[in-house]
Amino acid sequence: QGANIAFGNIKQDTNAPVEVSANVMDINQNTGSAVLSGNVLIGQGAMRLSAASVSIVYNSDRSQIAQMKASGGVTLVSGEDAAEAAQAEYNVTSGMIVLSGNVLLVQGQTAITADRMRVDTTAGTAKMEGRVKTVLNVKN
Amino acid sequence: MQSRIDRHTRLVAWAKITLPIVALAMLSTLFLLSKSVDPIATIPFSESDLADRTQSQQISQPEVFGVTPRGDLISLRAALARQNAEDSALMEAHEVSAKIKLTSGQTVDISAVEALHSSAQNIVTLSGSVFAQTSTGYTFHANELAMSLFDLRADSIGVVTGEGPGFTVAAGQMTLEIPEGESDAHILLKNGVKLVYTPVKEKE
Repeated sequence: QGANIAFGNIKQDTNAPVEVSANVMDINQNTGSAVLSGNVLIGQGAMRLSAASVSIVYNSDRSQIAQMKASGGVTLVSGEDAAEAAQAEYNVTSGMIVLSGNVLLVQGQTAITADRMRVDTTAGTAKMEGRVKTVLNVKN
Repeated sequence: MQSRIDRHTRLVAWAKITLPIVALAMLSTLFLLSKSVDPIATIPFSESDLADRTQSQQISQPEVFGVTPRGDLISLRAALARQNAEDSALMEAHEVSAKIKLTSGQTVDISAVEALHSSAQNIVTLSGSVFAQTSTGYTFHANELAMSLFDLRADSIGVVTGEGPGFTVAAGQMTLEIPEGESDAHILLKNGVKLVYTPVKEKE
């Protein structure tokens, strides 16, 4: 089952430049694939995605970056909402981020855990899927 | 009628005498009056150039080739190479272009303004706006690059900036090598990497 929630307070423009900073970038000269590692931080607009390593996937004619696959523990922060997961796939062209691997989303007082979380940064919404549990901390 | 014939034969007789004399005179003055050509002045070298050349050996259009144990071909071309005045083991080269052909078929083309080749350690230090372009679609600019000729190893000295498909990148240092346990050559950007990707608006 799934739960639709708002994520991050502002609409995100997928054409905003994406900045990535890391310690090391390793470019394989045979395949041309690139992997950034060492506290990698991806930033676009108000969205920050930090991970241990990020590998860049190019589109078919290798003229643009199509996807960024972050792994090794991922933290996604947008506005005052924050989500943590094992890995994440950021589809740069569509602005969709798919977090997977015991996702924990913290929004203000509530915390939601699930298997997967699809964040649509352009619409500012997120969809939690798979064993969604909400922890409401009710103050008495 | 007879007088006209006599005049003709007299004319021819006179011509037979005067014409050779005139030819002789022309020929003799031809070499007397010619401009004096100073052979020394026509050589296109200046004094300083001559002293410079005799002082150290010089090769124009030199080419150096090297093969790594794994079979990558490294070639280095320059417009001019001259032995360093102080240290004879060093060769200075100008307008250098190097090409690394990897066994995987990919290539790395490097160009630089100057290069210093030390035959002792077989290292060539390229300097002066070093520009490297890889066939995988990346380009890099560095101030200095130390490149080995006989194994696949190149290290940038100082910061490096570059471009890849759709993004620009800047890093503290760049190394081209084959990491242990890997068969492919890798370019490692180290000491902090900053990458800026600007998506291109899809043309609907």
